[in-house]
Amino acid sequence: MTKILLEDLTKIYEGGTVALEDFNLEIESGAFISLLGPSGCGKTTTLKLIAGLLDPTKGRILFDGEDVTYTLPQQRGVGLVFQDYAVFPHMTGYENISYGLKVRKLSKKEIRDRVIEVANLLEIGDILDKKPREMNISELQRVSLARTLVIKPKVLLLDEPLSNLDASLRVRTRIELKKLQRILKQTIIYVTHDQVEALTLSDKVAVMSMGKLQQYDTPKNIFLKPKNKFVAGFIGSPPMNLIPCSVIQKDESLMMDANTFKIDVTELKDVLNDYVNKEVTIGIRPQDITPSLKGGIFKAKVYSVEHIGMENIITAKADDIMIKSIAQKDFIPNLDEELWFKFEINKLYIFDKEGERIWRS
Amino acid sequence: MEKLKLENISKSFGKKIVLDDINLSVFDKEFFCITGRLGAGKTTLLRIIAGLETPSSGNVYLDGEVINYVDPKDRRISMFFENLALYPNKTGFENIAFPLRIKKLPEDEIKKRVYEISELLNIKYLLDRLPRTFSGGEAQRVALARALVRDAKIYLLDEPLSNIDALLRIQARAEFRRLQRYLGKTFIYTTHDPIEALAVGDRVCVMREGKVLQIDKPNLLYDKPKDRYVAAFVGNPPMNFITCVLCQEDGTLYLSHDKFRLDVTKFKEAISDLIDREVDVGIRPEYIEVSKGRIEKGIGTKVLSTEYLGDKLILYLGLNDLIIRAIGNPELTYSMDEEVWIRFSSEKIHILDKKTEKVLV
Ligand SMILES: Nc1ncnc2c1ncn2[C@@H]1O[C@H](COP(=O)(O)OP(=O)(O)OP(=O)(O)O)[C@@H](O)[C@H]1O
Ligand SMILES: Nc1ncnc2c1ncn2[C@@H]1O[C@H](COP(=O)(O)OP(=O)(O)OP(=O)(O)O)[C@@H](O)[C@H]1O
Ligand SMILES: [Mg+2]
Ligand SMILES: [Mg+2]
Repeated sequence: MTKILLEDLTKIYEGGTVALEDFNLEIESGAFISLLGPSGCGKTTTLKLIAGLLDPTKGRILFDGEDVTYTLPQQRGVGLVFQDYAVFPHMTGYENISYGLKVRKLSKKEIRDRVIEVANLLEIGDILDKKPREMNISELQRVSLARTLVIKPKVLLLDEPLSNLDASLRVRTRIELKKLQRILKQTIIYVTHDQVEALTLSDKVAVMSMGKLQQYDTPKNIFLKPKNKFVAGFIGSPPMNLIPCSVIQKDESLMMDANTFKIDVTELKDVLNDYVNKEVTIGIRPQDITPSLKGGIFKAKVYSVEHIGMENIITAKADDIMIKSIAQKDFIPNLDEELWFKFEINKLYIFDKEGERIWRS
Repeated sequence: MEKLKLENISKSFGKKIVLDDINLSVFDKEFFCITGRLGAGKTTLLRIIAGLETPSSGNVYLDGEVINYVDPKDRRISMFFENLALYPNKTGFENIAFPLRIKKLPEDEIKKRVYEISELLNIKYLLDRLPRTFSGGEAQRVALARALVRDAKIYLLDEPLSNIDALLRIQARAEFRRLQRYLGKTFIYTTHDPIEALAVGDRVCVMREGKVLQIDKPNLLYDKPKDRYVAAFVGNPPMNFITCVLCQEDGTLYLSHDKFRLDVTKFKEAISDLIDREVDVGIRPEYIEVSKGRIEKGIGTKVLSTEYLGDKLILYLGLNDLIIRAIGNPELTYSMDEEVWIRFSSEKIHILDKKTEKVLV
């Protein structure tokens, strides 16, 4: 049970890459939170700073109010599981998992019990005698996860611990992790680029981009009330379509002009009055766009069709914008065929030039 | 036209049979996708095609000729591995250019190709940097570029998107399809994510423990799985299976369960052998109608847990001691232990022989 506070945390690597910039985050004791963001946005860097494997360029890290920014890693009570699994190649699975307990001088029996317990949880009970070179990637990843879980650290940092597991094992391990956390009451920071994992597992999600925090909120708010264009365009499967537009006034009516199409948005006058003749971005979820053979708001050419089982994802191109929409599974257009697309005004999100959301219904 | 053919391919490591009599053909310019759980034999199959592994028996044909004994480097097959290492002391550019340098291509041709593929994979900013400064996903994209930049007869891609972040993965899916069309080359692609397989493949091959279970177009694989394993594996959330007894009464056939009864007379021909026996009814979550209030012919169930995914809400419902997965309305709140009613039509079900696990309807 540890409450973690990150204050203005900044990390600039040699060579000048700003991996993390003025990052502020408050993680409640016992919470399960996720750091979610695209490759290179600074997730691993954040974990390394919390674990003490890197020194920040600026800023502070507090555990339960105590400044641990420069405390040695082994004194922080933090367990870290990396995305590139770390195991000792010359030791068996069992020796690898029990290593941390041996160092802590636990009794043989207790070591055995705890190793068996996590091994069962992660379904690696039958490879404990194997050496790492005889294991496949997923087994290696689970052994490395078990090594850390077995120590029961107060703060658990997980860097894409499930990325190499196959889909069904990932779902099960996810549920187990959640259960485990309820029992052990650790504070867990979970790094992932997979929004499904972040949304289903965590109490709160911190969405990051280019070293900056974009939004820190509950899964529901992240989806329904994205703070800015980045979050909107990152969350959802597929994520929200973002289309640059300008707001124009014609007599009494207000129009949104996206080159490819114009829509009447007079009903949003109150919101948009200040934006006349300015650039904005509209956002619309693929689930809210309906493709059809005739009639709609704009026309676009089919770029690719993906059959994903219960529905089809249709990507279409109109001038230089790509639009994704969800269609019924029996709606299968040809490549390069021209289709109509429509959506309702009250499904729109609108973002200003800086990317901040200014409206949603 | 047939590009590649595998004939009775088997492979054992010691006593372990990893591939068991595989027969399949991949057509010219086809996007062929292999999916299966970990250890199914996907990587081993690709390694045999590439010539990195010798089959214990069987033949590999490329353009109609047996290539079992052709040296890997003379096969003109390009392969991307899931755990491929980059050259640490070469820049991103030189890593990608490497296979072209071996072929002694002129400098401007090399430049052109490297830039083209880097543009496509969004990695231009990495070209001057060294691999140790790459994040996990960045390294994988550079490795992928190195495999695609070569001119080859077949591209073998082993889990190319597994470490790439989710957003890019969804974009990359559509791009991959487009890229393959554009290159006009044959792709054989593996993934343990069956939805990704449906999304990219012209045809999808499902493997289990070294055997091929089914090869079909994505929509057929989803709508007409041949056996229980494929039915359960392909689809997310997976299909539900409910055990019922098939009964006959005055010329009508119906499925009997202590909570419901479903007329299936119209499937008589396919299932008449199973009268008075237990059968499994397969029903996909999206075909289950869920209601908070009592509905006619509705089956009462209890909410066990929910998973919020933004546009969808997955419900886990208790029906006796079975867990049924269904899709709920994400705008509603379902509380633990709340009673909800479900219903489904006989149009949407599959009926499986419990013994052979074959899908009959
Ligand atoms: N040792 C280093 N030297 C220089 N730059 C680095 C170093 N380590 C990381 N970077 C850069 O810092 C940025 C953040 O990297 P980080 O590993 O934190 O990303 P990440 O969010 O974990 O990405 P991924 O999802 O791909 O693992 C990236 O642009 C990366 O290229
Ligand atoms: N060189 C080897 N020696 C012994 N067994 C091996 C060898 N290579 C693979 N195997 C075994 O063969 C089986 C199939 O492995 P393969 O790597 O082909 O599966 P996969 O479908 O690619 O799995 P994954 O999803 O984990 O990548 C596994 O049980 C693996 O342990
Ligand atoms: Mg990382
Ligand atoms: Mg593999």
